[in-house]
Amino acid sequence: MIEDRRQSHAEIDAIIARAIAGDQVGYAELYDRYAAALYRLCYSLLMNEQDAEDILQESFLYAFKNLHRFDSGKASLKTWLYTIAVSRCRNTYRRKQFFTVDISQWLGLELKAPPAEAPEAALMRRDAEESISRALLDLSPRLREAIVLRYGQGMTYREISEVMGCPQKTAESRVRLGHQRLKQSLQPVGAGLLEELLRVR
Amino acid sequence: MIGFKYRYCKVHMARYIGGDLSEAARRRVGRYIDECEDCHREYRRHREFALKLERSLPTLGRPNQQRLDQLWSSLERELQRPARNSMWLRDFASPHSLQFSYGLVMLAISIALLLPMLIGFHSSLAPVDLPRLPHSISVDRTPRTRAENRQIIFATAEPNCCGRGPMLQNTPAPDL
Repeated sequence: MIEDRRQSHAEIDAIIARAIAGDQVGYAELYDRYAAALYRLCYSLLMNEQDAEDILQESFLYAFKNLHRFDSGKASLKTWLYTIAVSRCRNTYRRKQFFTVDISQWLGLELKAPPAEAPEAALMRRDAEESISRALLDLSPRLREAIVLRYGQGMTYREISEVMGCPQKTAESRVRLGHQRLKQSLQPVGAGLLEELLRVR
Repeated sequence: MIGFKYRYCKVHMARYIGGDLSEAARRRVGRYIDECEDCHREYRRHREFALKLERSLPTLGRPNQQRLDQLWSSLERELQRPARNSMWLRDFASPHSLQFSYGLVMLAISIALLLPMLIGFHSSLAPVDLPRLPHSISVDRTPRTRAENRQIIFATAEPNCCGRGPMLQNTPAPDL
């Protein structure tokens, strides 16, 4: 396991070196490796497709232009990219503190069911997704970040503390508190909703 | 006793599952879970919820691969664009350059603050048409009448005015 991780780090370092040397394929490889996870992180924090895409693009552009500054001895590339994205998400929800309506969500354009999905399954999936999104949005931004990084991205407490820029104990307590709040807010709706989301996927 | 065990477990369960309890507390919660049925139920409930979160949150906001490819295309174009502006910005934003810029700004502010004062100082030095001051005052002590003795002779500071020698001007003293 440790050997695998070391090998993976060495592999990423080699890709970074190639990218810094001007190899466009190196950038493409890094993008392919992290874009999907970074998009999910941004979406889970902002709950808006357009914002998530904008942040994804901005974060990669910043990271690629400053790749020569990245120090693999201090943090992993994943942690560095997540730190950049989370700080941009923070700026976004600071700007959007006032009530805003996502017009695509309002018009029901966002949750498109796959063609094979039955209407009832699509409805249940949408309900489950909406209730989780609402529960996440009810959390304070810091608790949401901690929960999304822990459960959505499977990061360790140490990595979470690096991304959030706080001590490890603080990261732990934020995850714990977020877990409790999420449990409380999902309980009245019914814990079966989560199960539903998992079942229809 | 069961109530106490359950309360203790409930308080510490999230940290127990998250693996961030101290060794002693972890062993204690573990013992209570084994001994107490309510504690065991609480543990299972909590654990299941954490597992569901771990499985359901990664499914939120699953990206569209086609959209990600489009984003990469525009990102690639951005990367290939000559970075003339950004280089200039980077140079301008370098620490030394920032110090220089701050210096310039401070100088401009200082000049802006001092300018009105300097203008005011110069304008105070400019000649102003003031009333003439008496050059000397002399009292004629020759015996005169009381009313005449009260006359004060003013001599102006303009000698040889109109080529007729110092002009004397008699001004009657106020009637005390």
